[in-house]
Amino acid sequence: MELLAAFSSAAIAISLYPVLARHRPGLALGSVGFRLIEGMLYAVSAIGALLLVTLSQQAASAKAPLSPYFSATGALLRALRDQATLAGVLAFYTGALMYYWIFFQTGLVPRWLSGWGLAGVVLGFTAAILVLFRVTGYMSTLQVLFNVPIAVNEMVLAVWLIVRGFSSAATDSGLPVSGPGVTRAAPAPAPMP
Amino acid sequence: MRDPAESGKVIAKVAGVLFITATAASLLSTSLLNHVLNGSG
Repeated sequence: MELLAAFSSAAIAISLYPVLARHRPGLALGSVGFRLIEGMLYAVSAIGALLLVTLSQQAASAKAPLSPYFSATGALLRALRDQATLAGVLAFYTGALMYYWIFFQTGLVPRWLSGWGLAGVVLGFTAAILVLFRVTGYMSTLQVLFNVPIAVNEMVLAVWLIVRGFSSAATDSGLPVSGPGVTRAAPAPAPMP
Repeated sequence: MRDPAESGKVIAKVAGVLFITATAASLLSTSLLNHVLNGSG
């Protein structure tokens, strides 16, 4: 499940890139980069969880399952999982901030939706920073509450994109630019002398 | 060359499905793993 989240997170920014790059190529590339980092860190987190399963199986078959070796390794793997997830979440908010900003500036989706996304990103990023500096705990009520707006927004945005798509006015006004994944419009032929 | 409006519609649908997949998978995995590791959901 976590690996599915990792791959689909990265795929979101890659799929949006051709549209976003017509408007803000730098920010579009930045969002792809940060969401790829997010996907990688979620994969590390998933591997940490899988290693915990392996460790518990070894502990179950060991002569001394309660030895400090198993508890210390288990604690280390859990810390790895939590820290990788937290770093992944920070990468997510940075990448999401970039494409929500493009959405807001260009009107590709309604401003109430992109503005809601920007506010949700700021709230979620704040919660992640508070967890990073141990002001609040990982998966604490505060962190969960601060993440509700962006989670709901992503679902609403998803339904909006499937049903309504991007604003056609904003899609048509985007100037074609060069870059990977972006097709440059063919220049008009020069008049013959 | 493909019509930008047409390709925009396809991209929007693909991105929409991916948004749902990523958000649902992320929420479920976090909730389930937290439940297993901490004994709380």
